[in-house]
Amino acid sequence: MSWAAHEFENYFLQKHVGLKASFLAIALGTFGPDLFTKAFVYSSSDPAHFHRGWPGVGFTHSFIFGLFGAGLVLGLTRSRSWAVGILIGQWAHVLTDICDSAGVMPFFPFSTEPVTIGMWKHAASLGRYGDATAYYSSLGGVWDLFWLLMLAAFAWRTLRPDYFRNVIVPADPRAWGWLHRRLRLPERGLLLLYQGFCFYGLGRMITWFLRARLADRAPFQPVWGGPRYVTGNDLSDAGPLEVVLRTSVGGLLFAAFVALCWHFLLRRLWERGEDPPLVERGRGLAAVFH
Amino acid sequence: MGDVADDPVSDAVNDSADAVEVRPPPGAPRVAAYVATLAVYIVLGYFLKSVVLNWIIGPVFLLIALYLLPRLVRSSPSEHAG
Repeated sequence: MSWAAHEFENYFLQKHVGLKASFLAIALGTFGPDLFTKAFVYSSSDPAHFHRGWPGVGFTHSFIFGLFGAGLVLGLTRSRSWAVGILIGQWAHVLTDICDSAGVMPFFPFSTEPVTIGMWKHAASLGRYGDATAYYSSLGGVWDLFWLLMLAAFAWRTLRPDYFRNVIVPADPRAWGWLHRRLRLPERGLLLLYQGFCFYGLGRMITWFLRARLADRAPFQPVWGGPRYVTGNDLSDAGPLEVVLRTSVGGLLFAAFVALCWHFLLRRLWERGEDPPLVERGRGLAAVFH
Repeated sequence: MGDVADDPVSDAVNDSADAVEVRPPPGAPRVAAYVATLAVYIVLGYFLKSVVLNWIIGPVFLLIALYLLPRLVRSSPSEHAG
């Protein structure tokens, strides 16, 4: 699993969607796969399998889960910005979590084959704090740093007050307006709330890294498949070719499923959906990216 | 990018900001405030990991430290008395 990378990704995604997706929805989408399951994962007898496999809650780390969430939000709220935000946030989380040894089932239920590049070990079996220590002793911590640098190099403007005022609020005036009225927060407070996700990512990245080095004295092993002191948590014995074949078939079936859903349900929901006044949405990819 | 002034909700947010904003210090001191808050968060997180290193407190820590606490201090009885 990734840790702070999920927070940094939000701003990077936001830069590419601009007014066309709600930042709060992107953040909720990236939190989504672990939001209600993480506590149960750590108390499970087989955390990796329960977290990412089937049977278990591995379906939360699949594209269909994001599609379902986005469709539900679109149907209930009619907000296209929220539907798009939930979808891309959740899908980004799925793609990021391919990096650890447990992997994800992106095309569940059409393929239950875990897809992984095994960059670092899934270490939930060590409990929450052991998991954090292992993550920040492996390439996982480097992965977080990579996303921080990506944010600093290519999307730092998204953290500026003028970006918040000119893009973030107009992309989702209802939610920010609600927060403004309900919590009696002026723009300064809302801006701090918006920047808070980045702050949290940076803060926990540094803190967990320091704890891993100074408190737990875990060896820093930023090598492929590290850290070495953690037992592997691979969920499948399948070879690379088998994984590619099963995943490809699953991907084709998923694409057909999406096309059917769009034809019979999602297009109608999308057409009756609403956009904030300043959003001009094109067709195809231009409906999401600017 | 369109004009936010066309958006009534954004107007409401911005108008309110003019009315009740706890104004941040300009320039370098503002960066220093962020850095100091980060340092405090790291120290608290190191010693009280279960309290601050979580999805609830973490994302709102900046809001608490740089807006809510200063507002609370400004509105405290001793402040009014002064």
